[in-house]
Amino acid sequence: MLELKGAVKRYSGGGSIFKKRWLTALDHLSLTVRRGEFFSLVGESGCGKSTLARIVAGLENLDDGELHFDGRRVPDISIFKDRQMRRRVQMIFQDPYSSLNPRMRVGDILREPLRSFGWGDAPAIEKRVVELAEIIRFPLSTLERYPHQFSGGQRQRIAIARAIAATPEVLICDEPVSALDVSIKGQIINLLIDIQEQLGVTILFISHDLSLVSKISDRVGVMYLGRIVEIGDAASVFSDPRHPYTRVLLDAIPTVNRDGRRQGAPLAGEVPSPFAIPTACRFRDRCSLAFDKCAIEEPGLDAVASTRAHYAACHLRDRAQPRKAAADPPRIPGVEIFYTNTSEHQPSNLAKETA
Amino acid sequence: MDTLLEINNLSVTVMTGGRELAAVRNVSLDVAPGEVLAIVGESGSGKSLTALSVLGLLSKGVARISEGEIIFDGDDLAKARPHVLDRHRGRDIGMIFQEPLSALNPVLKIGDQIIEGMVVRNEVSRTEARKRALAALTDVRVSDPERRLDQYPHELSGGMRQRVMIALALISSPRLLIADEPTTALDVTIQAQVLEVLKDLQRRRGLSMILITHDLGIVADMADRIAVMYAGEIVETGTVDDILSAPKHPYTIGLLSCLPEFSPPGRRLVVMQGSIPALDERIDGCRFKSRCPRYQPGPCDAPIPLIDLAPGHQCRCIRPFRSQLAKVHHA
Repeated sequence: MLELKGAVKRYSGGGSIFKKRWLTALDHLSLTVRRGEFFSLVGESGCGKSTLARIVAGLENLDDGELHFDGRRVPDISIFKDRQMRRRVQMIFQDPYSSLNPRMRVGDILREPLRSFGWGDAPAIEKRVVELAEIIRFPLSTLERYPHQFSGGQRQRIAIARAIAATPEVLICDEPVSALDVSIKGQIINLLIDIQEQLGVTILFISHDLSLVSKISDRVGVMYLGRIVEIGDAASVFSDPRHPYTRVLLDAIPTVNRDGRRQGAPLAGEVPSPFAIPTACRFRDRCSLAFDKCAIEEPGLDAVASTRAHYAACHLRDRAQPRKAAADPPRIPGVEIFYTNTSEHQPSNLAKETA
Repeated sequence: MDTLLEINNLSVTVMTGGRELAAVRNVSLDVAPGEVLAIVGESGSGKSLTALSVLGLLSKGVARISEGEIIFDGDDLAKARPHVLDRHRGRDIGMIFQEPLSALNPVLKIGDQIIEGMVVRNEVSRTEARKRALAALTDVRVSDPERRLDQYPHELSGGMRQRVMIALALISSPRLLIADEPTTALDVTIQAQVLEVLKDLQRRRGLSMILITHDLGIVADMADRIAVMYAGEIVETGTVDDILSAPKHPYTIGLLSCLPEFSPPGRRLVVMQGSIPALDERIDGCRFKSRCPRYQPGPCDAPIPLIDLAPGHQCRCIRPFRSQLAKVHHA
């Protein structure tokens, strides 16, 4: 569905007028996202995951490398002009307070993409707006309101409805729930899963929340300093990570379950500056397993032996070290009273309105 | 029990649209020497207002303490005059904020910011102060501390800045540290480092701490006791094991069930219907009732006190869960 080949993106940052300093956000990154899958990209701030999102969404150009969409190469500028292309890839942002126009009524926010992508005549547009309101479970009367009259979670639902209005094929979600309260996150996540499962939309989900990602994704890519260091089926990557960086990320997650508490010491040091990415293996300065080869030869993103579709950019990728499974987390008594709500969030009409 | 800080019946009101609305309602808490108390809640629960009240940091004209007392070292901070507050603030009580970049002075070097307090209070000479600042930075494991003293906040990474904040808060050897979402703005690996530093210092110095957070994972790692707040009230309080292994209030249970690790099998997450009530919403009885799956018309509509379930474990619910064991049943 989506493919990046040797993608490079640099930004100039500071330096003098004679010698600019270049920040490498994406460093010869290659990535394939399959049709209809829920693909998550994880990594710490500054690893380039948002840059990647903006490039795939056609908000920025690549400096080098290629972007393919549905088997066709996307030439640089054309994506800005090509409305069809725009319609097929839509995006949801982190902050629903700044991504919605405060002067537009919710109804108009939903009508705008329909008009600009030529959805049809006025009645067709109105019909679609009603459908969208149902998907996000907004009573029709609320369409006359303005964004400030809604909570963060409700606004994010409006943003989702706007993004899927003109039936995109790919939905890019850049940290869509990190600004929301714990009790609200589920609404948005479940809605996204419905959209993926029932409308067949491909989702590129960008997040730093690994415990969330491990639960909801089909496949996952771990980014470090502008490159994918590990990629594969979510179950495989999270239960048996082969890149030391993935492992420390997983170990750093604070968890309520006392048995599954931190394994190993926290990672020392900080992410090196993207102005000066280390040579050979970019993680070696912080890696507890680094040996001489890591300073000489850069490990490629190669398949892990005896796995299917699990790749890691580490010389020691074939050394299996399954994570001590957080042995059956203790069930919190009473948790079930909230379980029923999970299935309640099933927009009933999603399946039928696939265009 | 020996207490360092005692909050009794604290109520805080905020001004919005010309009206004065209750944001914190009759909160009572205490912190023993060397104890870490976590206040857990979502936005709008009143957890930060409670903490800011202790330090007398509520913004004038916006929020004020309408009722209650905050007893620290024999002084009632709720009614204290500024000079009494100043005697404690920054000395006996230190504070760490969520966003170190806005809490540090951008035009002062790190070293000068740490030294400032000591010099203002005429405690020590400048040279001695600098020596202590260096020791403080070393203590929070800032890399290259000597050089950091002469750097400005913007030259430091988020994790380093938060360490500087901790050093700053601890330089006067406070007995109580209030940390408001200290690692929320940080990446997981950096968060783990900063928590490690905080925990180490707390243990080594026998520091009391109020940790304000929405992240139950951090609480499990750091705290001795937990107070769960919802819509301005404490709904449940107890030890870490009470709250995380045998929670009794439906809201506490709901918060836990929203975490991916406790969600039902499958990809979907648990959803707590509805949202926190608005400040001006009139609610009779339980403030959580509109979202509670166990709501019963009648009993839940009358005022509900905090009920003692076991020594130190209280819950504001007329139908608290009875089960005691954490591993009652496996599906």
